[in-house]
Amino acid sequence: MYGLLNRAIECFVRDTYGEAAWAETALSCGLQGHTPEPMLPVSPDLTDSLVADICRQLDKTRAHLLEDLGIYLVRHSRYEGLRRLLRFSGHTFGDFVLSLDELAARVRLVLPGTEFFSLNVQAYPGRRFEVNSVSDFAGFQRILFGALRAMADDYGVLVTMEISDPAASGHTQILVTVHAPDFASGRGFSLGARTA
Amino acid sequence: MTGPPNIGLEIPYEALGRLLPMHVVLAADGTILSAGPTFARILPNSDLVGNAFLDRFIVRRPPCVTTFEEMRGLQARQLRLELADAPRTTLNAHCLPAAGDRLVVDTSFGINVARAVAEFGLDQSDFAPTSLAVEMLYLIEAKTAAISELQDLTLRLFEEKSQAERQAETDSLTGVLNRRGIERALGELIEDEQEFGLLHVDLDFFKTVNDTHGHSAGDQVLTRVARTLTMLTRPTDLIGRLGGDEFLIVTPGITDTDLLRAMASQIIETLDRPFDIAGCDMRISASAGVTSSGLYTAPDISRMIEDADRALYRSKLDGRTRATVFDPDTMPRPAGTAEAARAAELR
Repeated sequence: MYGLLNRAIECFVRDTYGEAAWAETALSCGLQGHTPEPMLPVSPDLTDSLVADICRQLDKTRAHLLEDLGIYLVRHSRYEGLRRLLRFSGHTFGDFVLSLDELAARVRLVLPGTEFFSLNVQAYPGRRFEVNSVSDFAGFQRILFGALRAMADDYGVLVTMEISDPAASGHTQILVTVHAPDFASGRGFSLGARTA
Repeated sequence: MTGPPNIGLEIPYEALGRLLPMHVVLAADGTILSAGPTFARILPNSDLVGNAFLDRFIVRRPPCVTTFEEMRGLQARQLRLELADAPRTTLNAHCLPAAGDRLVVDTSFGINVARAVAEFGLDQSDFAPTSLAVEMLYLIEAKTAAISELQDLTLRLFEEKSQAERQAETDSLTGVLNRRGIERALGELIEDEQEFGLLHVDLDFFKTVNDTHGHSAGDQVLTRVARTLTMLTRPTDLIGRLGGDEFLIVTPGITDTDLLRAMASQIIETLDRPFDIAGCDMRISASAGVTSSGLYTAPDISRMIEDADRALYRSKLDGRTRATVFDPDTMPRPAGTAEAARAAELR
């Protein structure tokens, strides 16, 4: 999945900050224009180099950048396919959050052999959810945090969210509280949109 | 034993509708007593309830089922139905008996679920929570995206492979084919049993140019020569640089040795004229050896190149700045060390 992540980072930089910003990062990281073919296996080192260079260029923290990446992946039209696949997991935002346990398995259906992350969700009264995650990639939970926030908007739901820094065990916790399930209309989603 | 064990569950039609959103319950005579809620989404303007089942549904498989009695007999078999009011919609179905001689028929979209969902604008709530329909749609979309990516990747890799192959057969200095490229082209012509001529053009006094004006000038001369050869040949002719100052020209379709000699002579004459590079006058010349596939019963690459070489050797012996056609009778190999040494000297 690092190949796909690298390509996502590239698209994020190009689409959000422009060609010149990407060109500078590509040069610093020794790339000829593009990140390597996303479907081919690649070492995780490149991902860290890319993130480090972009943070330096834009003067952002790694956490902030990865969160923005998560938001981008749900909101940007280039990744509409991904947003749709996420919407399949839940008719409502609450259903979606509860189904995050299965997200890793859903990813594996399409990309066999990826053991990139694992999620565990607990629900509490008062529409509160605790999303626990473990990942090989440091900062995965920040991407998830951004994506969850954007998904709440997508469903038209008002939420507050908190994230804790990784514990010694490597687990991170994201707390999601739903305040208004019908806050806004959100973006529509029709199951059959891509088959016509 | 009075019959199979009966669970004896009493389920209101409405609850059955939540369990099986696409079912119908039929009376003993085939009249529809109730229908699951998803049918109301598929056929909003038709009433199913109160109508005869076989007026609203057509049994496609098994074939030749036209009466309700026949249908009753098909319990425990998979049926394929069609909706009379939506003919392109096929449904998988099966039925089981219920109390009071009723029949419960459950249906699903089967493999056509994606099309049906799009056509009728269905969403998650139109399927039972245990239905695999939504997972199926997810898988279809994800699969399509993955395959599309892989197709793009395959195309890109194929382009890069073609480009790499072309590069491997191109002389990087002049842009004409290299030895590998021209030999492959010759191989293809021979395999396709196409006739062709072969000219081996060798520059004279090129070493002098390098010694006098330097290798950079030498490179420019070679590039210029390659351009001249390209101009003086047809677009379908192939030009290859064999390394150093030797070029091969392959002329598919032309085997007339007089014509080939005339071509070679024209090339030599053109190369004989001095030209300017970086303000200096370059004087080179060329010699050529010519052969043609018509001279062989079974043309062979190395044999032909060798023979063109022998003819070239003859051109050099005769004074250079000329083209000679290969003649097996009069052109012996440079056998023996003295001849071979002389041949090397002449280069």
